[in-house]
Amino acid sequence: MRGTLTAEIVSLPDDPEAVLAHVEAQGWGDGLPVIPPTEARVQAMLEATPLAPSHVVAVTEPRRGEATVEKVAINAVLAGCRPAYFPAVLAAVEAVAEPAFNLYALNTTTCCATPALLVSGPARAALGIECGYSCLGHNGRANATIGRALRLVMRNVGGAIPGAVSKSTFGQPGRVSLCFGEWEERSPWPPFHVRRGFRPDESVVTVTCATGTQDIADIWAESGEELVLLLARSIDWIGNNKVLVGPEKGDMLLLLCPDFAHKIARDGITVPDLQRMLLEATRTPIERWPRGYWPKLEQRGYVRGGMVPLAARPEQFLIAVAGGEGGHHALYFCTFGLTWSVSKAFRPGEEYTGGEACELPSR
Amino acid sequence: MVVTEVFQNLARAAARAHGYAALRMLVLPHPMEGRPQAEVRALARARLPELVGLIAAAF
Repeated sequence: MRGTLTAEIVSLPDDPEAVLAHVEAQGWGDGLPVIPPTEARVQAMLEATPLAPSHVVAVTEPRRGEATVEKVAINAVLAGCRPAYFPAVLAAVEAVAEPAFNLYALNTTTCCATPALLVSGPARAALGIECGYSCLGHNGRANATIGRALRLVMRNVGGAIPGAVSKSTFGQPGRVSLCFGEWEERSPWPPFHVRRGFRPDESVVTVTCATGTQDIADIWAESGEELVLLLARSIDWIGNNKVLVGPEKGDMLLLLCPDFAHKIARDGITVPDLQRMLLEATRTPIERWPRGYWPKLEQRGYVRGGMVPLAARPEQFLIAVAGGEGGHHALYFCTFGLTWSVSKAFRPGEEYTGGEACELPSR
Repeated sequence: MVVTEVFQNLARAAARAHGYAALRMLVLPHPMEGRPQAEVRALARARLPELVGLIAAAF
């Protein structure tokens, strides 16, 4: 036992449908079945951290709900997490509550943005986090439930109730769960978390904003440079939420399948090279917008030499490698803009005492 | 606080969470974007007395 729980205990029939009906009636869930958070299950979850159940991991906006270790554990049980996943969930909750991530905006915006969880380091193997085939959906309990636990905390503690507080016009399937690992072993470049300043042997969860997962397909590129140009010209569409906030703000993840990454790296292109090429090639001529938009873009200072850049600095393009070996695809996670990705280290299934944030880009 | 009608419930929830449950609000029609500038200016003029009244009530 990690300590006395403070949550109200409700007696319900030992029947999954009765439990789900109660969760629905309370407005707690996402519509999917849940694992009943019995005291024994919550205590088992708490065994995965040395932190006291009353410890406040984060204050979550907009309700300013205190995400105590106990409340996060209850939501992790509801989501279907194994106790071993709990440190990753705690780190993710801590990460989204960092001011740079701007949880208030994410939980209240009309945009469909949601945190995408990118897990790096040894935890991927220890927890069974999928990095390859279908890692973004329908493959594996860890991927499905770690992201779901975070979303349930955002809703049940942070108050992101659709319509009442969350004004997301459409929402999106990633608002149920969006969690995957980087396939570091199939990447030609240093692992994502190492490039963000962590040691290779650290496990790290990075929360990055995703308005969706836009597929970019290719079978024709003969060089790395051609492929990078195709990727760049596929992510600079004018109705991009990122455009609304200007080039200076926000970072966005481009997830390459191993084949694409190797095709690019084969031509000697490093990650910093790739970021510079993307920065240059995602400058869009203002003529692509209807004429009435031109003065509005000009007034906001978004136009430079007749071009509207998607970003201001190469580091705003985050690069990671994942996905199956069949190849042919990249995924772009467009940001809604008013947010920066945040990384936190954690120790899977061992003592978790709070993550260390990576160095954030200057802004 | 000035808010459009569909954001009223969010604004009230956020104000309550931040300790300002009694925050006075001027609620405008939704949406505001996309309206011609002349219409927005006319609306602003029409609702200005209410806004001044809400602010003056604080003193």
